[in-house]
Amino acid sequence: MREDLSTTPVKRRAVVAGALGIAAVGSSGLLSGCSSGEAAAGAAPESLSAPPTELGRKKTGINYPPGYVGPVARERRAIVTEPVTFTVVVPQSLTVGDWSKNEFTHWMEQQTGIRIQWRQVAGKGNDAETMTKVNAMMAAGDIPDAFLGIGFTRSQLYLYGAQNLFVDLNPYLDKYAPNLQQAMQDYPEARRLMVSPDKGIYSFPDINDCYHCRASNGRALLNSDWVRKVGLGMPTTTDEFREVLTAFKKADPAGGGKTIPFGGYKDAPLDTYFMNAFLYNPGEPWLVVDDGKVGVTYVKDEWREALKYLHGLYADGLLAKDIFTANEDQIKRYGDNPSGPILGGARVYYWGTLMTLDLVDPKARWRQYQTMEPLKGPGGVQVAPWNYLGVGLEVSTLVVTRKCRRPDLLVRWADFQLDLEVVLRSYAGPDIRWSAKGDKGINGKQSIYGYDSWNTDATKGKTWDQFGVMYRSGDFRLAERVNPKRPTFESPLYEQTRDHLFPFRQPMEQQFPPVTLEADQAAQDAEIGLNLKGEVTTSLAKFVTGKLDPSDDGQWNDYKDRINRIGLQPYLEIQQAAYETYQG
Amino acid sequence: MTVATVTPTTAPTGAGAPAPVRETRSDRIVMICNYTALGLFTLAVLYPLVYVLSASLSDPKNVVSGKVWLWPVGLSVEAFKAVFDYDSIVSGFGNSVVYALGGALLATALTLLAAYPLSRKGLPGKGIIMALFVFTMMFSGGLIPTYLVVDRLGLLNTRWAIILPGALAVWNMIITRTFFQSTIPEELVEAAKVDGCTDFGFFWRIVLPLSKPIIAVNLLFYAVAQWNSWFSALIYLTNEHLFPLQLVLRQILIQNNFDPSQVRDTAELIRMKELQEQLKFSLIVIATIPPLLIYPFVQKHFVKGAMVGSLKG
Amino acid sequence: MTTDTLVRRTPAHSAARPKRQALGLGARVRRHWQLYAMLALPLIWLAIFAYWPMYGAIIAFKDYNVVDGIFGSRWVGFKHFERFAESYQFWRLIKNTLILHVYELLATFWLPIVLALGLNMARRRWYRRSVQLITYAPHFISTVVVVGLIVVIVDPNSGVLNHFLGLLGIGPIDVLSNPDYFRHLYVWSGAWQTMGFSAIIYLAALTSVSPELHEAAIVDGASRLRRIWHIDLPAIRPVAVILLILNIGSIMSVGFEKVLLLQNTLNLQTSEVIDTYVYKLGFASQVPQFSYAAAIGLFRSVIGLALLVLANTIARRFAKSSLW
Repeated sequence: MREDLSTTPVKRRAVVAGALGIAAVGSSGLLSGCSSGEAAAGAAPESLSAPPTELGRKKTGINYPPGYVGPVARERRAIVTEPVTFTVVVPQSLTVGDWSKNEFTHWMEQQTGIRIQWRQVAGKGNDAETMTKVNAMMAAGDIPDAFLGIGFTRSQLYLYGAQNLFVDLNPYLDKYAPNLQQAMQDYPEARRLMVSPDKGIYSFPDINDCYHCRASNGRALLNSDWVRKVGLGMPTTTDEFREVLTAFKKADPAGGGKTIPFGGYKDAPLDTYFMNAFLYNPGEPWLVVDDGKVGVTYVKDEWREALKYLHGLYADGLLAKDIFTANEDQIKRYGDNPSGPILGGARVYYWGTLMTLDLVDPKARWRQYQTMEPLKGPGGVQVAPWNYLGVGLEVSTLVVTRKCRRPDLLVRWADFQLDLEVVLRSYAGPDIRWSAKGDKGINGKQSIYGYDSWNTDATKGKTWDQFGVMYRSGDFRLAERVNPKRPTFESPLYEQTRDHLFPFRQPMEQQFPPVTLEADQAAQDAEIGLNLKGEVTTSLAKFVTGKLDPSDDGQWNDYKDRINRIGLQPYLEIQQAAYETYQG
Repeated sequence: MTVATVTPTTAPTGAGAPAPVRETRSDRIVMICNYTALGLFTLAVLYPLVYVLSASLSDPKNVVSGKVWLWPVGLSVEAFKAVFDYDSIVSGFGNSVVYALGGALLATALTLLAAYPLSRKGLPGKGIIMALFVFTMMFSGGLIPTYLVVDRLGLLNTRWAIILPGALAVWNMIITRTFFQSTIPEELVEAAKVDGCTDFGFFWRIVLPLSKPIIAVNLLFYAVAQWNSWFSALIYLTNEHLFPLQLVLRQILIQNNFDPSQVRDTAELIRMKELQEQLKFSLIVIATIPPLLIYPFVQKHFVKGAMVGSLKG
Repeated sequence: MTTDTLVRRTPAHSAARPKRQALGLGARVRRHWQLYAMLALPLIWLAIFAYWPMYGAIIAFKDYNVVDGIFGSRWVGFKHFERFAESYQFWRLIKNTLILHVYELLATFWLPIVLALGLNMARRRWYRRSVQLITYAPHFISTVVVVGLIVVIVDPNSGVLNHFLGLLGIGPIDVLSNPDYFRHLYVWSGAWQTMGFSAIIYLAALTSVSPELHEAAIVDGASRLRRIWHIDLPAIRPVAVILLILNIGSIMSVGFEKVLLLQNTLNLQTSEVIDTYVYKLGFASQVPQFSYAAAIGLFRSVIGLALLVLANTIARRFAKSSLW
């Protein structure tokens, strides 16, 4: 729908000639670039006149587990009979390759009749570089019909939506997105997570219910073989944990004094695991809700107790000396140590961070490392921080701009992708196979589908990586077939999360939800938040490594003073207001 | 000191032979120190380069586990083969060559055209013009306005957007001007004028041939700058076929480490890590080879300028 | 007309040249019209790509919003500057940035000069050429790899550095976690990376020195070192002074990528510089902070300009070469 972007020689010459006549500094009329006074809604009137979309019949021949909640395969029809073209901005991806030559792109065009003119932005979609480019485009008024896979924050969606740059999809979702409506019924919190403070819905969301992701931020692994070697059981309290590490150090299973009882690296925070033996602590930005009131964890006395505990561990050499400075490559080097394991355990997201994973050998080293249960502290607190709200629904998957004349078609195009078959094709490729009755999935129940390889050289250029609009419910993800000959880490990851972390989750009301901020608030939130983060993480490292002493009242109070001076109070006020808006 | 004062007072050899360079003891020590220091420094620089090369030729698993520290372990060219599997890398390489060459030529031309007049003492308004240039080194409109200008000129998403906006580096221009000031004396210009030579003619026929070193330096610097750059491409291009190599490299090498709370699909994490490990070093090698290759050609032009020096008297 | 004829003619003309009267401005301008013509193209380029966008600097004085555009956004005066000046880390950022850059300047400014002099002295061509080639290469290795190498070398458990220190009897030092070592690490790794490349300019200047000058000096009995002092150094002095001035002018900016990669929670108090702060702020922010970043950039530019003018004035008086 947008004219060809490449400038012809004639046009360019004319423009340059025009530019030469301009004096050194431009005046206002030359580069208004964008809006100020342009009409808002660009949608054509017929965009709301079509009859509501209905769901097709369920396809047969596919085995679903009992009680299954998630995308299903249905009969699908083309969306338009005459080809319609939209311009869409997407991130660059080596997996997708050239979006216009991509196999899944062709398949979608064939199936729906909607053609897309792709414009690729170098960048991953949610990083600073992509946002810089996208903002430059918007500033120049150079906007596409839609953005796909570009990670606008909730605050940005709200900011631009309220100014009519992004289309409020509410009326279209009601009429033309039956799959999404069904998904929203399956996930009751979805509406609150999708909606902006002005009740507008400025993007078509994606649901990606990754079970283990809800807890992996606080996961800690421990070498169960070593635990057995020193004659102890997996620790459940802070004291037992100390005992186990001390035993590791003494027994020196790695030989030559090379044993590292417990390690980590600089991007994996320790507080997400250890502080939870003293109080519920979700990690950065350390916001929690207590009876409707928003607070932070790092100024509480329990936090101080946790610091004392860690301080003791470090002082006794039970924590790796470089636990705050090592980078990911280094910890992998420890994990992959050729002569045998030297790490007793580590605070990492999952095994892959710790070492190269051998997925074939049933006795592979990574299998020795078990997910620890949260430790129970002296106060009886034992929590595994569980992310109810931040995982699952992702906003900003598809954002329709005011340039688009037919938002209804794009909404239908997005909704089309929520069908089971389309989801699988979108991220896994055309070589999926339906499972037979009795095939087991990751969670041990009936599996629905399976594939040989995911996101490898074989599927290059055939999928949209994970940038498409998808509905991947928890049941759906866990219904992936486990190949008995090549069991991946997905099953143990799921099981260990379910058995060791899920039972200890905190109540949902305590979690600080993903909120939307006004522009001014966002500025303050960013700056104070950044300074707070710097202070909290630096002080944590210092308290633990002994450069500061948590038992020293003076130093602890100094620390709290610094936190206040940075602006904790105004920061909390902003968060409280945003929280209350979220609650509605 | 002029040529005329050469008197063979200290030359021990016969008068007919050209005076040999006689080395005193201190000279010899200095030379030895020099060679040693250079040698050591080169080794210090060489080691990491060798490491990168070895890592690119090794089995990625050995690199990750730390087995590789000097020589390749598990020799394999898999990493290089994998590079060519990605169209965007191959086309990126080609694009980078085009940008480097085109950019270097255009930029060098602009630089020379600006530096020469500003190096002439008598030019009225020289100070003001110089200040105009220098001011732009300290102040710039910023990203958005520059983008708007490029958009207005219709250059978005074209190769010109990469070459034009950064075409002149005032820094280079200043260095070039300094060079001209030191090596083209005013007397030479005067003499040429008297002989009827115009400014243009003088520049074209005298100055340029005498300025081979600085032209070579400019070409090199601009070509390298273009080769290493990725930001312009990021901002101005949405057509993947125009992306330069560095942009593709960044995609692969720079992982997003700064948001631990971000939800990561572990399979995606594995895949990204795998790609990184597999391609990291071979990509570095491929990105580094061309600038290394053109250097010897540039080196040739660092020849001693015999003529001009003798006028300093 | 060839250079040879010029050379032959020049001494005679120098002696016979009469003193010229000062011409009027208009006449002088007309006399040099060709030089102005040469300047035209670069000046046009400057006007379009450097000066035209400058109107956008007013973003620093507004609450810029992409939808409202540059002229439609609300004017807020010095609000962003005040915000920066009052921000918690303001003084620390300035201090860290300045110290880092000044240290870098002092420590590494003379290194490429020494390298160029050394290379110029080396008589074996193959030696000189290969050293040049090798030392110039690190410039191209991406920062990510360089930092990766640094981390491996300084690893307290298995790194080469601590291995050597151990041989000398010094206990293992954890370089990365110590805020005091951050600057050393940053500066010297930077020297390693850029020395060869920077030496190129000086080499170009040195190659334009006539070898006859050296020959005459040798005959006069000058040792190598004296020759360097009296011939080579003066040849590169103009360039060196200019580079020094330029470096002083850009003292408020420090390449942020390497700093960012070398940062960790323990060395943050010395490793947080203006550039990394602005970068992290932009990244951390829910809404892009264009105006704030523009204000900080403007603040930096003003200081840089002031320093530049100062450096230039001093250089003009004492070193006889300057930018203008």
